[in-house]
Amino acid sequence: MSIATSEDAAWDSRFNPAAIFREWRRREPYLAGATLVYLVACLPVLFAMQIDERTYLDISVWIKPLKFLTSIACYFAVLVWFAGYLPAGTTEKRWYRLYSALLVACATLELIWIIVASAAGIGSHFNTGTALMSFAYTAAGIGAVTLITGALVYGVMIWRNPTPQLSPGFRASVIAGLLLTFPLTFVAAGYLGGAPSHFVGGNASDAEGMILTGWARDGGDLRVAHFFALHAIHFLPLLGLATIWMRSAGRAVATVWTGSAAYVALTAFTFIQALNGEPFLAMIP
Amino acid sequence: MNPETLFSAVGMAAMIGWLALLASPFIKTWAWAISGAVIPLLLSVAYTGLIFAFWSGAEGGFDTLANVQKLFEIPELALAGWIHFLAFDLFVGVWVARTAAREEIRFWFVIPCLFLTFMFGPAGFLAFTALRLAHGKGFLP
Repeated sequence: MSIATSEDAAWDSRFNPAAIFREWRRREPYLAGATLVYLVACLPVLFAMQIDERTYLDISVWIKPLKFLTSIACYFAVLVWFAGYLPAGTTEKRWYRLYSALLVACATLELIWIIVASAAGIGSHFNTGTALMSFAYTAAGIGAVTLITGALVYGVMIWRNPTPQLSPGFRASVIAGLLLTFPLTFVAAGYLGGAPSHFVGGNASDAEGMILTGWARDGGDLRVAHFFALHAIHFLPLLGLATIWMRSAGRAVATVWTGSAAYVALTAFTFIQALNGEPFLAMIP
Repeated sequence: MNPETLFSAVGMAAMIGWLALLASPFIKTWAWAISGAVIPLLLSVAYTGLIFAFWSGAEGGFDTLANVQKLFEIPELALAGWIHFLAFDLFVGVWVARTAAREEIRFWFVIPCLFLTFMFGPAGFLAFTALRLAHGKGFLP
């Protein structure tokens, strides 16, 4: 069984990146366009990181824009692919177009806020220093919640759409990933947004953070749970892909459900860990 | 990266773009891809990165000549301004060469316009517009 939709030759024939890219763009032009814009924006940010010596919380001011650009690009990129599993004709509907444009607007405004704050060398999230920045932080919170409703809306619509072209395990993982992303992120990021900082204890510096992610190693870091919560949309479908080769559909689905439960437990664990002021993986450099 | 190193690097990049453009009658597609897209885009990335990094530290602005001069007192922003020249002059150079090719204006006539664009930007644009008028092509881009 193929994971592709029936009209899509990209996966059925030999691996063809150009065809996959075209098909990807065809499925959801707005979110696909935004993904590409965010990836292009990473280039000057990467360049700025090389020439700008300013730091915020002891790391380059450009780390955060880079993380948010790539993270939101990944979020949109996978929604674009899953748009192929929405009921036929959904993406042409007027309400959907408006909704999709709203998601792009929320993400883009959030990224502009983060980039402008970094260019100015000040904080974005948690920055309530001036009336303007305080307002921006609140607005960004509303925008961020709107942004993650995308996963919820997709999850419900795909759940109610039979999608017989998908293998049962992969289908279950797509639905689980989409439907878990919203509530998990809502809790993890909502709590983070209400906290004074992402650090719980420790010396409140990002300089000694974990490799790649930058998470604190000397105290709790609320960003860990936010990361796993938001990226359920990526990790669970990857697990689902791994079940495609299982002969028994029942076993594949059971694997996905078990994996999803374990994933929720992992996210909850990292959240509680941070609340207790404990680092996620202190031993990783 | 210090501004002097970057200055040399962008100068080199622009030079490659202009040489490619000069060779455009022989290698049209490649020349236009290099001098019309690759190099101006690389320069644009560098420019944008410099603005991201150094704009907020500047005191000047665009409102008065004195304020513009103040912007250029910061070496990194003077460099950004220079990259702006390099990127846009090259881009206009490509537009000149492509327009000339489309309108069948001989390349020999175009070379002096390209040289002027390379050295003095807008003067080359003016010269090429005059050349197009002389060929009865109107003056709208």
